[in-house]
Amino acid sequence: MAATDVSALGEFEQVVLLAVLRLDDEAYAVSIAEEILRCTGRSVSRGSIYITLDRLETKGYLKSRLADPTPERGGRAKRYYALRPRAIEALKEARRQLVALWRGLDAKLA
Amino acid sequence: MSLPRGVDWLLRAGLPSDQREPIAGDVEEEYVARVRRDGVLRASLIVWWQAARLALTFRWERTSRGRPLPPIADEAPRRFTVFESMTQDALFAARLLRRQPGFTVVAVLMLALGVGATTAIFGIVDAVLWRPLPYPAADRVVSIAEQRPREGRLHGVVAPADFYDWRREAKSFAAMAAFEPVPLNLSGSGEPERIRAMMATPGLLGVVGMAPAAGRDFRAEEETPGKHRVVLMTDGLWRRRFGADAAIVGQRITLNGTSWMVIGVLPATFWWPAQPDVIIPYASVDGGDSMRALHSMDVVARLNAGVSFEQACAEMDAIGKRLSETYPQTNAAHFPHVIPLQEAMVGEVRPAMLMLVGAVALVLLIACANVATLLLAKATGRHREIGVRIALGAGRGRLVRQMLTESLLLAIVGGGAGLLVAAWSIATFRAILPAQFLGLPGVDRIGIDTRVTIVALVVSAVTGLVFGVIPALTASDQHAAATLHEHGRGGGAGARSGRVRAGLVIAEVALSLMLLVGAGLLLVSFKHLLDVSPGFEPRNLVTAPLALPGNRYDSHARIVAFYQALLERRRNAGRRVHGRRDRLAVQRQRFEKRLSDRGAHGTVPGAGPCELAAREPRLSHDARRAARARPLVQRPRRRGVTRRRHHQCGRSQTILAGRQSDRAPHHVCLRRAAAVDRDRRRRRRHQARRPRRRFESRSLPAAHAEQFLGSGARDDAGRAYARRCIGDGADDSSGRERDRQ
Repeated sequence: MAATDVSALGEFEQVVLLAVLRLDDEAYAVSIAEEILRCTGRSVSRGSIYITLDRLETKGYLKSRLADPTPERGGRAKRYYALRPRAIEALKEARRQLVALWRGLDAKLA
Repeated sequence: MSLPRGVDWLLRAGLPSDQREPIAGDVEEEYVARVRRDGVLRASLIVWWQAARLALTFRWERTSRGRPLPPIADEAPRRFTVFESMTQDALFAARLLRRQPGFTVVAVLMLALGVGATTAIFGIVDAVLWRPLPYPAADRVVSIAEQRPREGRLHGVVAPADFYDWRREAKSFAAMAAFEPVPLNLSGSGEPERIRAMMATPGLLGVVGMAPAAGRDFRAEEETPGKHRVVLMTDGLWRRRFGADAAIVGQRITLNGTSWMVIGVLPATFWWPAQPDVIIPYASVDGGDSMRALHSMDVVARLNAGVSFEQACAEMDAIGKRLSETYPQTNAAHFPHVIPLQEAMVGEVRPAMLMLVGAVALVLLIACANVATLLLAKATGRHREIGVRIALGAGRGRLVRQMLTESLLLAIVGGGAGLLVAAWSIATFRAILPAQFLGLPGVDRIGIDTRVTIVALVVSAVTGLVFGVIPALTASDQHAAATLHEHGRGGGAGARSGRVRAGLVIAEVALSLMLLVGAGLLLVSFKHLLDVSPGFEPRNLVTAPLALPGNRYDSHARIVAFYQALLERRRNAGRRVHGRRDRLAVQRQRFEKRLSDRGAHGTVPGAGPCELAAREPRLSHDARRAARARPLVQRPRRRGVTRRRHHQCGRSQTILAGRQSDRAPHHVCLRRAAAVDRDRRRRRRHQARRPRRRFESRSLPAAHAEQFLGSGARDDAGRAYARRCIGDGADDSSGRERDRQ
């Protein structure tokens, strides 16, 4: 298992985790990409989604399950993702760090 | 709707095995959505692009960052070495084959037949066609013949005078020799024996690159009549007849009643198509231009070092052209024809042998298709096993390797059995080989040797791959979950597997049909051959070749007296054998040979520049009666002369001669004779008529070396009768019987 240092989350990893969190039980690669596009306007490549999901699962932030195969997918199963508790902790920590950094900068950004 | 062709393969090749199924499902889901939105073409292009990027991304992630990603594609973690893995596969395959003895036996039998037939035919064809002749630098030895297009001869025998001119003028050859087979009677100590002999000019051993094992070769002066009573003996005759007598060189033996001195013994490795027992010098007589009209020699030569085959051909063409201009009467449109000696020896059988190779290749393909169909059917019953293995993480490559191991094991067992079939087939072939094929090069070398064994193993391995790869690819091309699900519901084999099986069956039927049509045509041709009437009734006919010794029968009168006495003795003895009347008659044979035996290469009385139809068998009156055939051309009997007298005085001996007589095929005459036999009135008119066009009738002296032809109620009775008559008639001649049937 990878290290549990929550500060190691990258920016795109946070985006993916948040998308998974928003989708609840319907989070799989296609829906995650669409959610990111809908929320952020960013069109992300499918490869980077898969690599990031795989990396997050390896780090212990995500867990996945295989659903039954469906005919529209050529009889292939769908892999759904869900957050582990430490992912929630990591997201909270990341947000806290960002908020702390943002704090006091309103005058400079105005 | 499924993914475009190739995308699935790209994903399988580039993605980790644990990610492959869901990612491919995602891609297909998006492809379906895009097809509805953008059309098939655009959707296909996008999906292709996505698949390529995905494959590259995962490869990059794994190789550049060294992250502990799950394995990509079929590169399963190897807990075993390759050898251990292969051993495991082989043991598993052996267990599977042992568990299904019925399938194994049927498949091995089919493979044994296919591999066995292929190996046996290869063994024969390789020995005859593809192995070099048993001479040093055999590819430098050529056969030179006379091409006479006007007479339909592409590679015909050579006139002695032409050969001497070639030998004198050609510079491209290190050695050139001519030869001609001739039967001789060997007498003296022991039983008289008819032996095969060959008259050859000095230099024959130089052409084949050999030297006598004992003694010496012919000298140039031994071509001269009077100095030519020397003989080279083959190893076989030396051992069989003279008990490998070490002091044989210098001894004298009696051939045709004349004393000849043995000057050498050929090595045991010496081989020649005619399989001679002795070689005697070709005593040349300067017969002037007439020696250009009689064609009787076969010529061989060895190329000089540094001279190419084309250069030798060009030189011989130039010599032939000059001879044509110098001797237009005999050599017009005659050209030397140079071909490799092996081609001259096996050229006639090459097409038939190659056709045999093609036929057994088809048999092998049919065997492959049969076994492949069996394997496919067996794989259908293994869907669940394969599905479980895929679910446990086995890649497609691993599955294909396992199934190919099974096929190869089956092929090796079938190949071993095929080798036994081939050995038995070759032994049978050698036992039933007709005598005329014994003169083919390499026939004595036909067998199962290292080369044939290697070919059998290679054929087996390739066969295993051919019949194994399709079932392996088909059976391994399935999805674990879908297969298990489908199998759980009792579903059958996939449509793709069915299509492959149907394709195999179609190919098998097509190949079988092709073979059947070929075999049918062959049978029809064979039946037509059997239906060709030889012009006489061949049942119960026995022939006995006979050569009268020239020193005792050196005149026409003596020869005629011998045959008259012989025929008279026939009439007085053995009239009936097993209730049937025997007939014995004299047949003329090979006029040209008679002249050679006498060593008189002189002019043929009245023949002029024409060529004699030397190989045209001519039946005497009694022989025709024995064979129930009628002559095509016969000199009319003079009024007041009895039929018997007409024959005995030699007046009935006729010969076909003409400028194009070599083109007169034997069967044409005989078939015409048979037609005449069917219609008596028409036959009488035909006999009385002079031959027209190409043929002309000429009276020639009576026979010298002739042939007996008789009939009895049974072959063995006729044979014994012929032997008795000949034995009584010629004490120092010998005859061998030969069935005409």
